[in-house]
Amino acid sequence: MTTTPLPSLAFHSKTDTEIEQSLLGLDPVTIDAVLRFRHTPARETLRDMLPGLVAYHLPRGAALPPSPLTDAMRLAEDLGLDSLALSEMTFKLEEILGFAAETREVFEIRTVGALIDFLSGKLSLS
Amino acid sequence: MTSPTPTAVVTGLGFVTCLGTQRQDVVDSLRHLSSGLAPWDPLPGLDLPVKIAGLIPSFDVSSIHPAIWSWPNAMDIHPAEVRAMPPQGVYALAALRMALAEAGIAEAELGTGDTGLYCASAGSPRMMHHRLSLLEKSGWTHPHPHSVISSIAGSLNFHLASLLRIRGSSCGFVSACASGSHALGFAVDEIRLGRQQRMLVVAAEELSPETVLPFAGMGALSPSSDPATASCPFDRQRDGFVPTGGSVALVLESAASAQQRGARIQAVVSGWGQACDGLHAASPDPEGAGLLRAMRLALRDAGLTPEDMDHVNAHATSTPAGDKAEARALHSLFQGHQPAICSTKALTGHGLSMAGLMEAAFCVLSLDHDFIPGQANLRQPDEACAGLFFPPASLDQKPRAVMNNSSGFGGANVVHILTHSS
Repeated sequence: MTTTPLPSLAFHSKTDTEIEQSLLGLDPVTIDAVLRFRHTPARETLRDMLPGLVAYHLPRGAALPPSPLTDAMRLAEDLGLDSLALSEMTFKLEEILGFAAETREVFEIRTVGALIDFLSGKLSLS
Repeated sequence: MTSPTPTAVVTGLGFVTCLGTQRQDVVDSLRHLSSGLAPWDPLPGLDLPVKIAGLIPSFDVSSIHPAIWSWPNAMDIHPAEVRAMPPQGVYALAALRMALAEAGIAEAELGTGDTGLYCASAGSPRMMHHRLSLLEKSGWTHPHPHSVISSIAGSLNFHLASLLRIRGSSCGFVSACASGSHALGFAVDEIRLGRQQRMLVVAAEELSPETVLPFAGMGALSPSSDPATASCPFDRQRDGFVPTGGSVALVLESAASAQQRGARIQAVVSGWGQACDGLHAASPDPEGAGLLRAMRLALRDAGLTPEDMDHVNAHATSTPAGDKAEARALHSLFQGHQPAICSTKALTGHGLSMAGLMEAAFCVLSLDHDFIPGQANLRQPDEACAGLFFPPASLDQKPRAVMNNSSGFGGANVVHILTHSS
């Protein structure tokens, strides 16, 4: 798979402190998955960090997402993420993983599998 | 045959203020003239043009990262509820839930269309500054999804209305330091016009360098570093206002609704009035002409006269021009009978958009707890104050009627008249 090289914006040159700030509020399991991914990027590690990220972006009282998440699960109907929450979650992923996404691209993502494919493509994962 | 005009009554108050976050603490501070002001150094190492402020130590929303905001455990707030809010949204949600609890109204009852929500807030210049700085850093390509709803002036009502499932009237008011008073005044109209049975009125300010420091550019801030004396409304030594943040919430409802529920009525908002100076974007009419008209309109609306007023909670912010203008307006209105006048900003500092609602709530406390706050920090009254009555200590007196004054940039003046339920 070929991907467009990341633009060399300061936005994508996060310091460790900035990364840590982006992780504030996330649960330890998710933070561990993020740190593992930064050390050894792998598609399945993305899946490990998603339940915690989804839970963080749900409203108060919402049912927590199952773990692990399966590819067929729909982000809106099954997990409860509205478009703003999906945008916010993707923005956080951009911050902690270092890629750039267009809002219109994000709005086309419907399922967990599509999200992992999208992230894998952005991050040049096989 | 037309129905009688509904009466707007107060059945709940909530406070997140520098005088306390519990009603009794606020009452005690007002009664004993205990100041809520303290040293404030939000940007250590810099010589800022403001040294003190009205602080709320039990909350910390100073970070631009909502994930590390904190509030007392007793407050029923979930991080997911406030993650996209401006910082003062935390104060506002806490104050609103306190007011609803005091009024005996469950949140599940709010979504029936007969409850509205009016808010007053300047938004969050702090969050806007942060979000725009990051956007610029990204080459203007990556706005955070919360950039708008966590920062602009309407952000308070956006979030509170959706969180509480409000289906009646919803609006935010932006008239600078008269915003909270406008919100309450128009909420009274919603009740009187029969459009709503209940109105939730909420005002909040974040207190941040971004909100406060621009006022130094017009010489409006006190440079004093003495919390005990810096805010001295009507005093000859006054040299600018001291800022404060926080939130106040008020539950307003029709008297019929309150009686039907068996709710305790704390006070009646008997009338209100507004009038603009039509003169200057930032400075008041030197004679207080707009404020005088607003006071007269409010009295007419309430069917009362100056002689019926036992207390005035003045707007006076401790600025040279504003306090003098208000004193002159008060002189013009109160020719014989002199009510007890005070500006509680001597204790709280100036809450900007929140000020008018906070002080209306103080007036409710005065009526409900049978006292009139004294004027703190008044040592040498301005010559314009000659003949006006500023009690040096609080009075154990049940006021018959109370006037609450507010003025904002652009010469906006708003006045409420509050009375007992009897």
